[in-house]
Amino acid sequence: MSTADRFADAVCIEIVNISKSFGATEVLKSLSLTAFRGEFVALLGPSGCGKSTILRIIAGIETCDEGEIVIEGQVANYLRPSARNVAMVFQSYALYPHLTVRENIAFPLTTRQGRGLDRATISVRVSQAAELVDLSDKLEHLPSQLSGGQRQRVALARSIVRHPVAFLMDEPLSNLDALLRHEMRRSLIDLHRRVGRTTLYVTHDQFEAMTMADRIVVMDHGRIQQVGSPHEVFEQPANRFVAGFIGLPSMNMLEGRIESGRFVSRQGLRIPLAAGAFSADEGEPVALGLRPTDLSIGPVREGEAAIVGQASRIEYGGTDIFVDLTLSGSDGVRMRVATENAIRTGEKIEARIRLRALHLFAADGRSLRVPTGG
Amino acid sequence: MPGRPSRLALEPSAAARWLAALVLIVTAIISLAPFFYVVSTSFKETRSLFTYPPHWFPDPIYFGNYLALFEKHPFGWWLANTLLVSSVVTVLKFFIDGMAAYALAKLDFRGKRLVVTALLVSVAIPLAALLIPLFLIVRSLGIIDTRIALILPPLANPLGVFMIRAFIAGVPDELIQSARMDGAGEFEILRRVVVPLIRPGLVVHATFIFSNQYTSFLWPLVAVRDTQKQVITVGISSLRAIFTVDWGLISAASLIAAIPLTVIFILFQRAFFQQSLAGALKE
Repeated sequence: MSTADRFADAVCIEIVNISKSFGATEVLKSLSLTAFRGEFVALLGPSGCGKSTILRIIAGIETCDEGEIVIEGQVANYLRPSARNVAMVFQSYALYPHLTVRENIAFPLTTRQGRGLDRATISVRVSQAAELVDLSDKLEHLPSQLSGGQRQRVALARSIVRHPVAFLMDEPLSNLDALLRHEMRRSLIDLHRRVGRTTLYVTHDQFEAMTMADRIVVMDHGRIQQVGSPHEVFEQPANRFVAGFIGLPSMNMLEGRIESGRFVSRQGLRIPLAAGAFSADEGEPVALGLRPTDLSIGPVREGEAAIVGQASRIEYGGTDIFVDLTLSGSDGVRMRVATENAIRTGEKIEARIRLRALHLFAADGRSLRVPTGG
Repeated sequence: MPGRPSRLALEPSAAARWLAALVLIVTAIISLAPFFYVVSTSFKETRSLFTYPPHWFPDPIYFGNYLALFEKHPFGWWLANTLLVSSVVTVLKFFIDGMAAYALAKLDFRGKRLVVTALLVSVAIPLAALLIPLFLIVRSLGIIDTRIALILPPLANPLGVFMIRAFIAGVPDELIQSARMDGAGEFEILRRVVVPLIRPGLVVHATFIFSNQYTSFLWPLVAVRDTQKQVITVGISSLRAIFTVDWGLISAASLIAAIPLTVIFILFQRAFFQQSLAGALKE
């Protein structure tokens, strides 16, 4: 079932042709994006690609130079941040250090815009929000008395208490250590399921994006490179940037051209291509993409090809080992294989490749793979 | 290693500590001696001041100087005027400087740089250069020789704006943005988020304004002639006669004048020390 089907036609946030410059630097270039009600959308990209700026523009903290922001069917460009009814969770948590957890969570309900609720209602809503993030026993603590994960949960509760139409989260887990990040990731997914509100989640961590999001928006240099489900962006990257950015270790790239339906690298390595899988012309300069996980050791079977190289570097990674394979000339690939493969440095290895798993990119970076549908 | 715990290499030896204590005691005596002499003088009759050898302690203790201050001179008025003017200026400047500083530190508006530059330039102009134009303006407003003339001009001094602006600049932008998203107006953000976070700095600032105003001399001397409206600095200077100086009287006046400032400093000294440490340690 596609994302659009799952979320029907209920658009929550839509940004249309947004552009933004800071001085001479163009941060966002005519960018459009839609987030459906209840959807978890991850904005993924390297630092400085403009993903946080999108969030800040939607939140109203930043203005855009061109384009339109529509929240729940209403053009929001000129609405105050508080009138947009979206809540933002900052990377630094942005908790008020002089207020207790209870006062922090209640803050949005006690401001000029938020007033109108009686004390009893505020108290109930604060308790509900605190319970959702498992902070009921910390309500009288100050933020300085809490751990990083607890502070992050206070920030979440403060955003929940307003009952916003959408949550905007700007790298909310990046200040936590790896173990806590793992826990908080699961808590966030659970919370999203329980609250059921649209979430726009900015991250540079592809693992977070892949494991949490319904859809991933991959960005680079102020432009959207691809929008798709985690499966789509991993299996069918739209261009060389997405292919290289998604997946760990990064996809191997071999430069070459097409000769008689084969890929021939600059160093003369020849790899057959699956018939009809790519729309590349004879002689066209291309880059062959090969995921380290699509290389394996063992006898070549139907639909596979073999490459031979020397293991020049081996890294032990616990469940897997990472092997740098030097091929003919200066070509080299990295492969990720199970630890039961006892490989030694300098050893000659024959690696097999699934031809269906190959990617081919044109000189301008776009994928040459013929869409398979579904 | 077993045995008694070894002393840290950086811990000073007993001799060094004694030496430090000695230096501090001598410095304290040198600092306090003139003050002590003023106290002593205020309790002496003027003629006993010039005996040789001088007496450090008054004998007998004489209260005539203190009584004279209130009986022969409007010292009570001077004190009340000074406290009134200093308090009003401090309170008003606290609001004016706070709001201006917040706008300059955290809001974006057209002409902000120009405003900052103009304020900076005005800080550099000495009061002496402004005295005559200021006098003419105040006179044309018809408030010369009133307490309002003592209150209004200091409000325009932008030095406090820069001090508070530096404190506010240290408040993370995300806190302010978060409060805006939570529906707080700018004044509410200033009151509920910024002020509590920079409170020690504000106390230092308020104390600074108060003491500055309390000890100001030149403008009050020019602005007010009525002796009942004068402030304490001008009042004390007027105690000097043309040919004689009554040191006992002046000492008593100085001592009373110093009390409010001392009390304020003692009350707020915690804030002073907090402020001096603020930013020294990473959060």
